[in-house]
Amino acid sequence: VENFGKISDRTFDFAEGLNIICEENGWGKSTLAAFIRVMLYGFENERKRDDLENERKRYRPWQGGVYGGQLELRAGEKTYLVTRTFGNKADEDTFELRDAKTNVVSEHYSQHIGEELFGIDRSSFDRTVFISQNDCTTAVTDGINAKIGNLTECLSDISDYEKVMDRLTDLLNSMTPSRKTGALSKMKSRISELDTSVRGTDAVDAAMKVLVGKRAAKKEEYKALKDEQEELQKKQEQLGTYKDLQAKKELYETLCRGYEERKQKAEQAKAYFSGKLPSDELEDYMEDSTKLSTAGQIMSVYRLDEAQQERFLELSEVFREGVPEREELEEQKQRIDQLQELQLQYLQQTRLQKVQTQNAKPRIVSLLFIAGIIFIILGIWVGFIGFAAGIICIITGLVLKRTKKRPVEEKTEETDYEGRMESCLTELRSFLAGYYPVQDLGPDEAAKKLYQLEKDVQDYKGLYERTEKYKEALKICNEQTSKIKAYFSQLGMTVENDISRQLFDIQAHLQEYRHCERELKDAAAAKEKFECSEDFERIQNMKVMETEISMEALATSMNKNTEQLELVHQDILSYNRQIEQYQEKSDELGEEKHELEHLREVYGQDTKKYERLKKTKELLEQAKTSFTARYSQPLQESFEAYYQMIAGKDGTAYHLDANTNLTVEEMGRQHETRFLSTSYQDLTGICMRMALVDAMFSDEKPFVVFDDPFADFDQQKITGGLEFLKQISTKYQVVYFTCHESRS
Amino acid sequence: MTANFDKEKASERKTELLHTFQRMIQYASENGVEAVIIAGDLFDTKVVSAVARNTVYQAVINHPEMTFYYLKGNHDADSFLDHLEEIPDNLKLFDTVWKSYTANEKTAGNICITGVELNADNSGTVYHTLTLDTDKFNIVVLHGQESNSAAKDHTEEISLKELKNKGIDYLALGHIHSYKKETLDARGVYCYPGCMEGRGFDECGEHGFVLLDIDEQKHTMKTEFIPIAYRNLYTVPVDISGCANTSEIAQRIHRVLEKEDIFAKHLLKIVLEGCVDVECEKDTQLLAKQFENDYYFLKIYDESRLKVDYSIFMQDESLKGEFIRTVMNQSDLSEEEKAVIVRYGMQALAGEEIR
Repeated sequence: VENFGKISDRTFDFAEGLNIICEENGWGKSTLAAFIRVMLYGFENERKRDDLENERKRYRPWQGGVYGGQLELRAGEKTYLVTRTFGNKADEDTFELRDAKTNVVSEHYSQHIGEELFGIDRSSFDRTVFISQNDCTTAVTDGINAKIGNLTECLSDISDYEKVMDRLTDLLNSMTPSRKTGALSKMKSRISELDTSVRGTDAVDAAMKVLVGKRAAKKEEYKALKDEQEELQKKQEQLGTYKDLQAKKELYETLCRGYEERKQKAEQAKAYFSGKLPSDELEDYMEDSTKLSTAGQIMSVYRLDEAQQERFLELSEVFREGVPEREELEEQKQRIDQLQELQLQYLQQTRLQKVQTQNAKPRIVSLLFIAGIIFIILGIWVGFIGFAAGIICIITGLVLKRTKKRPVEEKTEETDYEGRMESCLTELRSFLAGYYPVQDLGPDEAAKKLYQLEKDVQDYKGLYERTEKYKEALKICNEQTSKIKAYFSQLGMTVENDISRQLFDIQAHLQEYRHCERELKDAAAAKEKFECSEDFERIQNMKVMETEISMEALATSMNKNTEQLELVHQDILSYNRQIEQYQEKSDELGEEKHELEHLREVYGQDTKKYERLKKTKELLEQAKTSFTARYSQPLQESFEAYYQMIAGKDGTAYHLDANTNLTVEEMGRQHETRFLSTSYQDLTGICMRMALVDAMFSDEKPFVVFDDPFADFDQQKITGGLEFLKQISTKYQVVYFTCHESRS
Repeated sequence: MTANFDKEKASERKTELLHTFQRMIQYASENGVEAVIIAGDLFDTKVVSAVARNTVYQAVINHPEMTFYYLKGNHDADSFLDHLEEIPDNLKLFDTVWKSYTANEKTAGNICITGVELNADNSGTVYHTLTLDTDKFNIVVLHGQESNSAAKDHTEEISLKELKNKGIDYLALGHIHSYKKETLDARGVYCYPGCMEGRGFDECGEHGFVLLDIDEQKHTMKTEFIPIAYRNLYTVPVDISGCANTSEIAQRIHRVLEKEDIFAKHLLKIVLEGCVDVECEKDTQLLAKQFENDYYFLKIYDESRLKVDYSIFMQDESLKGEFIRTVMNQSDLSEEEKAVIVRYGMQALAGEEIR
């Protein structure tokens, strides 16, 4: 030991057989035992923080130095030297294996030399060949079982048995049909759910069948109603046709009546003309009549009343020699103007002479002027006489004024106003004399006469013209009257007083006749057209309906039928909807049925798998039992032998089951050994360990380490224990540590 | 549908079935087909979806140039016809008594289509009441399972024997979902066209309809099976004998599929057959994953047997050896069960996943 715990730089040699190291407490016996184990298996509990539990920390050299040491051992025919140093961490550790004879580095074993050499893990090592202080009891580990079965080559097989069983258990649990969480249970539940649902298929089908039946009944009803509707429509059509024909018949009768009426009317209208009907010349006579009327109107307009006739006669007498021309009258009127001018001039001349002689009379002049103006103004309103008087007054005034102003002139031809006046007057008188008796007419009278003449001319001309127009109209009137009368006689009609009216009557009658004729023609055409139509024959052959139903009654029936049809149709639609719903449900059920079939198939497969897995587990357990049973008997025997050695009595009360569990039989019942006293627990533990070691190592025996295992034994058992050590040391190299001589 | 599709694929396949029907009608229209005979099972469920109903109805009314002869089958629900306000003129139906139609009324008038819907009441008597004009070309339509014995109580069975020498030229049958054409007698043949799309792996192979070309003058006919299915279903057996692991099995499957040359749009069921060692590592889920993207639908059935060489374990002192010997000695287990249990136990002991 280089440095390990409190042990430093020490060498220990172990002989064949029993090696007893009896040292007092604190010497380092447990440390040395731990050293041997660590050299083979390394440290335990490296992750623990507690220095006591963490072996690397626990056995760190007290005095420092290289942590580790060497272990020489023999395996088979070879001797090896194991050198190990330990750092603070596992990766700082070193391991070296050399052939002790040749000192050549060997690769026969790795740093897991413990497992490789003994074929068991550290736990199994601790439970068998390494009996540490205060830990004599044991329990069979998978590693021990594996070692017992001599199956180191396939350690994973039995050593993982518990894991395998756990996995199988987990798998079975995950599939189990008996727990809700199991896949089969869930599947079964779903199958049951689907089954219940799918079982409703029949109910759905039955309901659908009922509904389909009801719908079929309704369809029948609908069909019957449709037939009824058709029948009603047919009747309606027939009635319609009948009514139509009836209406047409009535129409035909109306047409016939109309035709007869019109015929009669036309004949009546024709009768007016007593034989000969006026033709187009009537229009000419109507024009003549118009002319006659116009002439009559002209005559009435231009007809002279008595006074006018008298006047016309009077004037005719005046103008028997002819009527003066306008130019002549104008000429005479100028002559009067001239005469008046001359009169004025003459008056002025006379007044001037008078003023000159008598300082004339201005007042008279002014007055004459004023009077002249007044007369002129009045003349405009009153008439020619006033006007003339005004002129005269002004002329007189002017003459007087002139007379007043002018100096008295000598009488020349030109100034011989009187002569000239006389001459004019003479001519005037001469002109007027052709119409009136005009002897000794003064200028004023002559003027008046001339104006009278002018008026008479005017009157005469007017009356003459009227007379002429009247005559002309009369002539026309007579002519037309004769013509029309002749026409009337041609027509064979008596002439009435008012032939124009008579003509209008004829025209009116003719128009009426023609209108009647047209109407008759139209009526005849309509009648003929109707008679040529297809309906005429039907009308002719038309029979009276025997049981005539009224249109109203039919319409009522139709309405009732339509309402019923609508109701039945609604019912059918309602059934359709219900059936659709059931169909949807049936669809869902169909899908569920498929799912159910699929699930049943899967369930069947999985159930089979589950059962087979259960069987697998069962058979695996059975195999394991058989497997362990193969060594349980020798184990039992071995245990009993060692028990006899230590306790000095029979160990048949102890039983070992197939799972290598030790029980003790007391009072007819088997109890676990943990209920025994500490010394018996240690005793059975030691015996069991050695029995296991016997079973595990049938060929090459390992060394066995006992770290003061008999501390709790009584003297008898210590004696037995020491005997036990002696016995086993014949087969095993035994390293026995104790602190008391009584136990050595 | 029995292929265990997920909902999405199941719905897609339903649509494809209708589409295939439409394609068949389109084919008929394009090729001047005058009559379409449906010998039952137009729908395979009692419940007919509105879409299916309308698709068929529209196909009928949109093709007045064709006459549809529709004989109801055991799967056909009345609901299809029940939903029709009125039967289109070009949809001819049959009854529970023989009903005949002349297919070529406008021309020679010598092709006669006769059919009857079988039920419990008439199935025994229909054969005696069938009378055909032998001068005509006679097509007889029936729905049921062919049978060579005289049917008595079997409603859905058709006695071919009873139909011989009746003057039938072509016996159009419906019920079986795969194409089959055989001789009926010296004059006629009988034929099941099968369904137009396979619906499950029990309906593998090509599906379609039969095109019947009749020379009405010469009284002869040519029949041709027209494949129309959009997708076919195939079951491919793969012998995996001797394979030691999943990888080797995959290679074996791959080699078989290469020879089969199945298009990716089809549906495939691979059945593993043969005998493998009990210690063969075989993961069918992994295999399915490996090939499922190559086809519209793929599933793997493992029907391979396990081979256990018990002699190897006779001297095996390990727990495994003990276990196998224990299993071997179980007289109440069949060899197959023993093999499976051995496999489970070995997988468990080896720390492998238990399959």
